[in-house]
Amino acid sequence: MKKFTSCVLAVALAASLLTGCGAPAANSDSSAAGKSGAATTITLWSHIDENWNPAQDKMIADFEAANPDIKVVRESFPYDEFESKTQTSLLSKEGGADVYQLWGGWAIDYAKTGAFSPVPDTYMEKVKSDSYEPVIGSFGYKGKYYGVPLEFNIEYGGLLVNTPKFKELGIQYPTTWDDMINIAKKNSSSDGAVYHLRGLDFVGWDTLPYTWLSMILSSGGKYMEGDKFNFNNPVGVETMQKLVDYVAVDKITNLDGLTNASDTEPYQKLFTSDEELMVPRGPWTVSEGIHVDGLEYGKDFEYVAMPFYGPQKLFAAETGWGLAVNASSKNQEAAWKFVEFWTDPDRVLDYNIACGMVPASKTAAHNPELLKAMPYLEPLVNILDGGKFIGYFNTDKLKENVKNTFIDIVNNKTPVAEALEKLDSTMNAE
Amino acid sequence: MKNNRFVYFVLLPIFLLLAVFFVLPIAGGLAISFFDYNPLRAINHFIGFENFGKLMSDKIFLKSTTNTLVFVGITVTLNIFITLVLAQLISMLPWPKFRSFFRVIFFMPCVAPLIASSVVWGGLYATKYGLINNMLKTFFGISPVNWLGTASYVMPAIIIFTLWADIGYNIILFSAGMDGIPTDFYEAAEIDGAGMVKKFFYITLPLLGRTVSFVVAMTIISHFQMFAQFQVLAKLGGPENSGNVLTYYIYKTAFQTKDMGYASAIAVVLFVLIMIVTIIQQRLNRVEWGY
Repeated sequence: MKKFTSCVLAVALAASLLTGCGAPAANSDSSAAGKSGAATTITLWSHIDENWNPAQDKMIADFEAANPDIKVVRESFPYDEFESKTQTSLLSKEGGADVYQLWGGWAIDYAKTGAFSPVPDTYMEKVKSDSYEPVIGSFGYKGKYYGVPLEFNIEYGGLLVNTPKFKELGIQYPTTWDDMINIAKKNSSSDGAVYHLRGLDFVGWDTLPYTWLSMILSSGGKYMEGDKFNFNNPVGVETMQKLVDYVAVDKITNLDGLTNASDTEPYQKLFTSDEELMVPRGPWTVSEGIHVDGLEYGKDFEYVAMPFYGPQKLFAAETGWGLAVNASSKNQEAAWKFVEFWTDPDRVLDYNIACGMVPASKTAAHNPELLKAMPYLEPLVNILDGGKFIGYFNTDKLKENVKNTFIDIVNNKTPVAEALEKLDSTMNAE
Repeated sequence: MKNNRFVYFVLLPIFLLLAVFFVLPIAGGLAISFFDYNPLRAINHFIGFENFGKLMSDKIFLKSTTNTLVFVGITVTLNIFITLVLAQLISMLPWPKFRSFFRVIFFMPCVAPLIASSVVWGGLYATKYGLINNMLKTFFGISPVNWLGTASYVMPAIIIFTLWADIGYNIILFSAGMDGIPTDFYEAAEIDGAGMVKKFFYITLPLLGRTVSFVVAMTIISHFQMFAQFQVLAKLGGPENSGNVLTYYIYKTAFQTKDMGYASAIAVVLFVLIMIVTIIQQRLNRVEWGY
């Protein structure tokens, strides 16, 4: 009896182990596409997003209709886990996907490892000729490209405005930099550590560095000499001093966006409370305001052009979301066929619209359908040509160090030039 | 001899388990710290002690080390003091149901995931509408404090939260230790005229030596490794890195800047730090006798 029970237990344990093998990853969300036994099946990995995933499924369905011999399976993972899953899968050389929708900045880490397949030259020529400058920067490495852009990631040029508050105050949206700062100065109010209204909340992980870099570029300045950082120059110092004064002297905002533990970003505060008057942020926030917070565009908030600090309409941008093919994929041809289908300028526009993305393709960006679907993109479409690739480096490292520098100057009254010299040496230490 | 073989044979599975899941990863981590390591790279260059050399000139590492030592020093000291006092008070309650009730109450925060408790406390510490600031204003007329946005307040705020979240375990352990002390000693002391305080210092504390030694060691080790509350309450390391501790810095270096070799070097330092502190503490708390 004991022997029999032991045998049953052993078989049950072995069976439970076997069922674990090859099971889809927990916490993942798979499309129904490609479940039938096809000649070639390729896998697409992306992160879970309620707007993006249906758009991906539609793209897959269209592709499969046009290519009946290829099936595509989508697997999506929570955003927080997605980068590490991507890294682990590429490391294993056997698991993972054929195609990844990944953040352009990650490609910098992967390109030099040979984890991704280089984009075929003829196809890349087409992509390059129809793309804005910043959108392919991170995918390039030593003359080859290891990914194809889907979007123009833009964190400068648009301003979320608290429409009811503007109406209540009886003021117009700003059209010049000075106008914007004056409105912010006049209407900000605080009581010690508590802010009742932040006039212009540019203090955030992404917003602060992009605002500063645009101020430098639009003034005709530079922050890099070759591949070395050089913030400690007259324009760099002047613009940083301005930003510091906006916080320390004019008090149009405070450091909460960088230091407060509440996970609420300035733009989210604008959507959910009356504490923000204007917040610079990318256009992707608009769909969050509408779909997540249930706000009415035009009534509760609007997205307007953010004035430039200097005479030139220039700003820095990093490469946004794009597609890459696993170098270990056994189905390279099918994978590239799928990527090429997806990035066709006419087809990718629908995807961009569904995802609330600014297109990476010039053709798609100038298609009137884009502004018909997303009229709030108008201020951005007009300035896309002024986008400059931020540079081939880990942007998180830059954001981290700009954050530390800014807090140090505001809190400890460190002279700006001294702080920027430290910033240069930290960034150039690698 | 036969007995020895049998013992080795019985212990072999657990040794294998320890070797595979503890010794090998530690050795692997140590090995990685000597490389400019990126797991995706086909070839990772051996750089010797370069990662360790970088540590001494890395201001954030030095700040994180200081923060870690300050956090562990203050929190563990307060934790041990508070839990000893509370365990003693609980053990003095005459009704067993009351004793159980208080143990359960104090243990409850330990059941909640630290990450979730941290999020809740983030709300309590909020500058505007936070419960703590509201209470300070209502009862003492104190203006709102930006607890988590001011460099000098971040660490005290996290220490207070950690004490709340973690004292339950030690109260249970000390209570169990106190319950195990024979009552004869107390009866004899009472006959000699000893009061409550004298009984605690001359009987309870010495006879609790082994428990105290174990609890202190485990608390030190666990506090060195705390991470969740720093990630949640000290946003991005906190203002001026005031909430940046070694565990968070390891995480950030490994997974954000993807410098895994350097992150491993920091992890080795943390490992050595824990080992040194634990050895010193074990030496100081060596118990020479029992009951």
